[in-house]
Amino acid sequence: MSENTKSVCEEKVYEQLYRDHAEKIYFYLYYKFGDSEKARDIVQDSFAKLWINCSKIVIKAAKSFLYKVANNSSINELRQQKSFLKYQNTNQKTITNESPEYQMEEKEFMERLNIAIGNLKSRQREVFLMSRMEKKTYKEIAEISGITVKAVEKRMQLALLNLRKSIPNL
Amino acid sequence: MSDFKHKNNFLARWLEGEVSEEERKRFEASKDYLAFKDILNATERFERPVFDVESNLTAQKEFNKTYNAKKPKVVQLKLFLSAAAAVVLILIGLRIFIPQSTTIRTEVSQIKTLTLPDNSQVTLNAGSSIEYVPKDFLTKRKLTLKGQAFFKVAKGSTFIVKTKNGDISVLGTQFDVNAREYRLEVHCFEGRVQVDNDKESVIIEGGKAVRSGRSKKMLQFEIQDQEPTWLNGISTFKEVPLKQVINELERQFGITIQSGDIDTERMFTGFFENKDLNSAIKTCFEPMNINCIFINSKKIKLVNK
Repeated sequence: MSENTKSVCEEKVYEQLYRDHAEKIYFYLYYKFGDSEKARDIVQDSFAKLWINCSKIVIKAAKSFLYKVANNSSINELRQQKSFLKYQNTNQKTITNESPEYQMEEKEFMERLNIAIGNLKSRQREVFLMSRMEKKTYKEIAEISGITVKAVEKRMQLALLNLRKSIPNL
Repeated sequence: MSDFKHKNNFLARWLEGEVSEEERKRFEASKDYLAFKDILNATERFERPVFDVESNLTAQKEFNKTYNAKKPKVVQLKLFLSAAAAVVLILIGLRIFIPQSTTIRTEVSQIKTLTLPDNSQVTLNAGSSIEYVPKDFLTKRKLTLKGQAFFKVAKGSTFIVKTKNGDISVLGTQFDVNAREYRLEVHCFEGRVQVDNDKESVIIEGGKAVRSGRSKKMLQFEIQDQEPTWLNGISTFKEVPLKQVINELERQFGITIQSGDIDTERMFTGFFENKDLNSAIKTCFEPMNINCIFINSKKIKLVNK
């Protein structure tokens, strides 16, 4: 049976789609909202919608369907957290010794940065974190977010400048 | 020169390694570079939450089973809420137009006298109730009576007592209304009273009384008393079926009477005092050749002698 004739309604196919995309969508939403619970809920909703519409969706279209649903759900989401990311409390110095912030407390810096990321516009944050935490290329990010590479660059640029601004001590 | 990093998304391109060697060197020599480097390094230290694909997939399958049922439920709740909101609004609207009424009732063995907003007095006999709208009472003297009550109506506009067996309208007077089961009995002590049911309409004056039964036919008769005897704790009956007397005994003393095979349609004329149960049943049933057996303090059984 070729890929095209298989139905999303088949449990095996559906499971494979879940294994292929659920985590990616989850992180995409997580970076966008900075809220893991919200991200989990939207992933669940998107896959449930895929399930009830399984007869109308061909496998090839499933991925874009999932991202579309996830994006639509997130449009309604205005909630923004001020501080959301978790980080390891290691003793390892993140701040380069040469930096003027040499004296700044490690913890304070992480917290400031955390809040600054939380205050970014969600589309800047999503691009910034996908690039930095997932090491995705701009091209990959563009595909996931459904925008052009140029737009990704623009958002990345703004994210960096905004972060720089929100940490004035640096 | 400090602005070069703002142009053409320079920072974004630098990060992706898409700037010329010369540009990169220039930027990495600047103070700003260190700050950005700190931000980028720190960001990499943030932890991603864990997404356990397999356990989430299991949860997903469970979720899918209820998802179809879940969706319309949400809609129904919304519908329900808007329906509820509409009902509340309608009720609020009605509340404005349909005034609130007051109900006053008496329990068994209880007599209550109250003054209405127009200064008329009502005395409710045991097991009776009146209902009226206080807000409108002064402009429209109207109330609904269940059971028996004595009225001393203050002079003024028409005063209407509605009962299920007929309506009584007066101007200013004293009268007693007894409307129980299918019966209506009105005693007029002063002034004039008009009694209407769907068959007849009669006007009686002070010292007269009227009563109707199942046939709704109104029968007039004379009374001697100046006020109803029950106001003084005496229940009086004139040619009434024994059933009425039994019912009144039950109401006045809060007891149950089992009439057994006694003929309760027999006519009774007489009275009983509402204070002493023993003498009351004696005065009622002795002349009728009926024996009373106390099953307990609140239950009496009647047997023929």
